[in-house]
Amino acid sequence: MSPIIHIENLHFTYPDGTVALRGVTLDIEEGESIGLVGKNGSGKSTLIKHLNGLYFPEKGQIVIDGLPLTEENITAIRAKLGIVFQDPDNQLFCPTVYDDVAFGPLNMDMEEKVIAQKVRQALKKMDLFDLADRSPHELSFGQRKRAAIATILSLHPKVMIFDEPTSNLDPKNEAVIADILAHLLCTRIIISHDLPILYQTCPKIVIMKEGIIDKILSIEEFLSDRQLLREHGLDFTFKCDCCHEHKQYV
Amino acid sequence: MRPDIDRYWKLESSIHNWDPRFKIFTLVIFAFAISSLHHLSAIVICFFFCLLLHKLSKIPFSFSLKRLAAVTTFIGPFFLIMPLTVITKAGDTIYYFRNIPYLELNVRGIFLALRIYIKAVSIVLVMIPMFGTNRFDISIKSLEKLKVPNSMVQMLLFSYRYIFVFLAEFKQMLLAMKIRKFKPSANIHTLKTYGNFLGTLLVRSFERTEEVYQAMLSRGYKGILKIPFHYRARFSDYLKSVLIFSITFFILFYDRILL
Amino acid sequence: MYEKQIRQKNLLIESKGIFFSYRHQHKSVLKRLNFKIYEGESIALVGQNGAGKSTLAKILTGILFVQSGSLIIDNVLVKPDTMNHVRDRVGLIFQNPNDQLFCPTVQEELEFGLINMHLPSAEIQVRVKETAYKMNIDHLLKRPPHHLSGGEKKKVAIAAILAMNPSIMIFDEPTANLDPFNEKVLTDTINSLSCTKIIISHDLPILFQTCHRMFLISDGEIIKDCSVGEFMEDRDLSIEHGLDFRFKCKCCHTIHSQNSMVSSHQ
Repeated sequence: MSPIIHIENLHFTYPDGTVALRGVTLDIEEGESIGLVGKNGSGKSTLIKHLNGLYFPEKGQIVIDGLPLTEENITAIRAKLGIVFQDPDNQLFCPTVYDDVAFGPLNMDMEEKVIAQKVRQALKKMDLFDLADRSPHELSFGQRKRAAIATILSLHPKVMIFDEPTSNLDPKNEAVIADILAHLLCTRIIISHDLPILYQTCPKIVIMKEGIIDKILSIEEFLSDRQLLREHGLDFTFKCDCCHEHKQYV
Repeated sequence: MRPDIDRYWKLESSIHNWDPRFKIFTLVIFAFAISSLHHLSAIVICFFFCLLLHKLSKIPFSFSLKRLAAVTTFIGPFFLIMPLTVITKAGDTIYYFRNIPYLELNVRGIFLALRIYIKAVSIVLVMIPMFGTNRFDISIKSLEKLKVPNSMVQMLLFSYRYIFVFLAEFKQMLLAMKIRKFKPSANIHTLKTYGNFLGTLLVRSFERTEEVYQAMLSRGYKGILKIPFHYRARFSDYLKSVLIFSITFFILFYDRILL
Repeated sequence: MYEKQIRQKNLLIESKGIFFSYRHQHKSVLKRLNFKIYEGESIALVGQNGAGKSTLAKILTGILFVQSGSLIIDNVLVKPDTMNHVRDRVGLIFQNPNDQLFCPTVQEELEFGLINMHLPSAEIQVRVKETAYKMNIDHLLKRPPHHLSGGEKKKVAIAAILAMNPSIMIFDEPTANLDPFNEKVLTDTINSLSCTKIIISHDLPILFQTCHRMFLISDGEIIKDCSVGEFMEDRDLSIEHGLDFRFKCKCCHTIHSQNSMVSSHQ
């Protein structure tokens, strides 16, 4: 079976001359859940923005579920692959939560009945059904994060990409989002520096460094290599002190 | 924190359950008609009719008083200026002050100001039931159905959504300045600080615009905002509009032909 | 032991039954809040969203004023006409550094508070230099703050307050949005500050690293005043207040038992 995401020798330079990607090659199989890590400026965000055509490759090619990334395919690709951005305020731009969740399906020219059904499903799944008529700015941060996920879920994408899904959340909401991520059935790519979340949701880790894929390895291998963690700014073991002293937590 | 204008959208009244498209279309025309009236008696009749509309909408009068006060502070000075500045016509009653010979007070000016004032108050009294009896976003969406250009509707909808985000950022930054002991005074430092403050707000909103636009694109946005809108006109909606239109017509007839 | 050490120090903040409610809300935000904070302490302020933490931070910085009860900071009763004194003593670092940084360069950012304090320009230059050196941001002084990375912005925000030399610094979610490397840098930075610190956070491991004492606020009252470690022993309490981080600890332990991290860590 061919991979759902196929990236070959992808290059990209920003208009200001910053080289962001210098030859990324990566295959992701359907149903996989990938943790994408790397320092600031390693090219993670630039890469995911390529995947649904927010940027076009300068060199190299991208194939999503059999469709090469071109101008004609762009709407079809955007229906297959959705990005949940980091700041939910940027994802929720409509006057009500309902409108936001319906925005994607409306743009895909679906039938009104189908849209209503998809919106209802997505809202129910994110436990937001009762808040559908509220304005996003009336929601708590945790609720907005879930609403942002619902806006993508309503498109029933085959691939979902999450950019820092747990940033700024309190532990309670973090656990809720981690649970949601772990139980989604589609292919997932999760950008995060929150290792416990990655540990819960992603068996496979892709490390980016200076615009290329540096390493691909399992989460267990990654977490056991402290040198590697440190190299990518992810050595969190200093936070484990409290766990050592409070074994009753486990 | 909801926008104030639609604070009472949840009430139930015959104005509330009037289809917003019909409501806005009809009342806008009615408001234009008011503004075109010539005679004080017609204007006063309209004023009472607007009061009645307002009463029907069940929006508490205390809520509207604040807006009326704003109109008063704006138009109030007209009562002072217009009698003194209006051009004298034949048949005008003019009072002179004995010791200030160059000052003449034209009574027609007072009536002119009164007409403007009552018209303004009436129009505000129509606007409040017009926009206050629906959620504001629904009102904007019905503008789209009334053939207002999509780009304009988009702009209104985004402003409605992001004005709060913007205000929150604005407040936070002011707070941060206060904590660092900033006190505005008449010096270069204050000017420079305000300049930087506004510049930063601008940069931040520009960055947000960029990100929102990307989030829209990635969900299939192609330049036209498709707006889900579910209202079906009932017989009563037509009836209410026809009623108001006939009233408008009679008032204009009375103002232009009968008087 | 610890209690005794602290008791010998000066009383810095004393709150007696402070009460606060917002004008347009029926519910009171803070009610009968009593506490004492001594010089040099670092206090963790925890509690669920809406418990009153941010309001308390605003009261401590002289942005809001209590409606009843009294708050004394450094021997001065906090009220609108002593606001200036309070803002000299207390600095607040926001959760989002973007809300705090608005000058064209980092240098001007550090100068801003000092200019407002009407210091002579020679002293301003000295203080900026010292602070930049201490915070390890000398190399950023000429850069515009909004081009910096998240971790750098956080440091600049702290430096901007630190330059004013406050005796109390309040941090609102200092490690939000940072990667573990920057979290560690920030933790070390906070620990290196000698002033009294109040840290509002949900991140118990960070609080464990930086604070001695913890106030748990619920419904506008302090319902527990203990050490961070002690709080973490009480599992039910932490779950009840939305601070349950067991699943993270579980990950730590699994990771530890899977590999040799335990030995390399010790």
